[in-house]
Amino acid sequence: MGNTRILTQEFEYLTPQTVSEALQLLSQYGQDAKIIAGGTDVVPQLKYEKISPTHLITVARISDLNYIQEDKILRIGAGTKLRDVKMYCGDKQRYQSLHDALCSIGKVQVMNMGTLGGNLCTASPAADSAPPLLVLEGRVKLISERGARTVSLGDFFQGSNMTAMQPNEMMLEIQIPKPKRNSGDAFIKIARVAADISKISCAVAVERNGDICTSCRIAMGAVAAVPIRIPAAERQLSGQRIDDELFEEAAKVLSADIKPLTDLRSTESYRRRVSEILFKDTFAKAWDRTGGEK
Amino acid sequence: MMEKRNVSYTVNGEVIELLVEPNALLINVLRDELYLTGAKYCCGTGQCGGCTVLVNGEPILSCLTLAVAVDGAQILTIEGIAEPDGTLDPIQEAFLDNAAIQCGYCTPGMILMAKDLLNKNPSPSEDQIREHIKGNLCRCTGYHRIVKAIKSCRE
Repeated sequence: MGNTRILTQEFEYLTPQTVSEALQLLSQYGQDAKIIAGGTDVVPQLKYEKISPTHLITVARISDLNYIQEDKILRIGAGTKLRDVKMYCGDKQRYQSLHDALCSIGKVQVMNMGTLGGNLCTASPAADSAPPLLVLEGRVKLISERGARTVSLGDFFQGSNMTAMQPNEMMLEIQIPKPKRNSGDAFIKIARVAADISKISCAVAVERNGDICTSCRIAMGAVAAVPIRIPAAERQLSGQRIDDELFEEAAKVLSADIKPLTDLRSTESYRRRVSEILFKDTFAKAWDRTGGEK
Repeated sequence: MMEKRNVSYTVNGEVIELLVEPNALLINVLRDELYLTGAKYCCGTGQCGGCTVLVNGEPILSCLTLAVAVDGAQILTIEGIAEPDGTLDPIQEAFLDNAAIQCGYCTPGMILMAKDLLNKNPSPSEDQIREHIKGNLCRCTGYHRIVKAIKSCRE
């Protein structure tokens, strides 16, 4: 059991000013080092002794990790504050599922501290930013001294608190392709109180042509070891005329396809039952945002 | 043995230089070294907002912040919001006038959140007020009087 009042662990604190300095430190200390950005995940992990790094490498002073650029794709520096990402998505009225998710984190203080890269690198099964980035077909760019690579978010998450990142790698940016004109996306989570970790969350992105759902992507959080897409339900709806019967069917397929756990936030059976209605609500919200009528 | 670090902050307008351990938390440095006990240790895990202070004008959780991480920052704690002569900030007056305090543990965080909100938006709606203090828990008042106090400070 940890101590939440003080940090009992000892470590060296390293403050690189550039990405290349950080990479050099990572190759030097690798396995024994931990990257820290806003600290809202890493500090509790230290308090609960879930991690015990000999070196903490802060990326908070690396200004090259803090940017939002948009041309054909949206590029968000991994060190960009959640607050700034939320503000950007809100101003642009695009990437609305990501905006919904960031609004649902709620706490002003956490939004001021936490970063988008940090939310993904912690790789919580319930990470709020993950389902939206999955349905928006987000990718992450990872870099080490040997070079950079880009992986889809689906491949990035390897397990609860586990990612595809090697010990000598760090996340450079998050990339999101620009959504099509006739598309809409949304995110909804169910949590005990306003600013809490989700019991279950859902993101949907749809493209439509009249009543036809030309493409549909669905992702859920806190229903498996990692945030996941639900291809079986996506196949039910993609290319189909949306009617109530098909919609019901897809919701049933979805709830049968997930593998939720029972933990302190919720039970397996609750998560499975509520997944249907959560999906329906999220789909309807995304569908409405395409500009047509459901 | 960890090497101590030199840090400097401007705390409530005063420049302060300190030697801190890399694993020292900002809340403990404020409380135990600077004797600014307004920021409260409550949950220690970022759930409750009791340890809120403003760093470079933005509210953060001092129990999840390493003291070394905010080297060079401007820090405002509840002790710094009254005038130097002791005249209370209008928000502090409003909390007294509206009896928005019971046990008082959440109050420093609540007042700093109100200060932050009113700095950015001098006339927030009730929804915006509730949204802004969403990360600050109060187990006594039911929030009603806190919201009322903040509303009374609107322009």
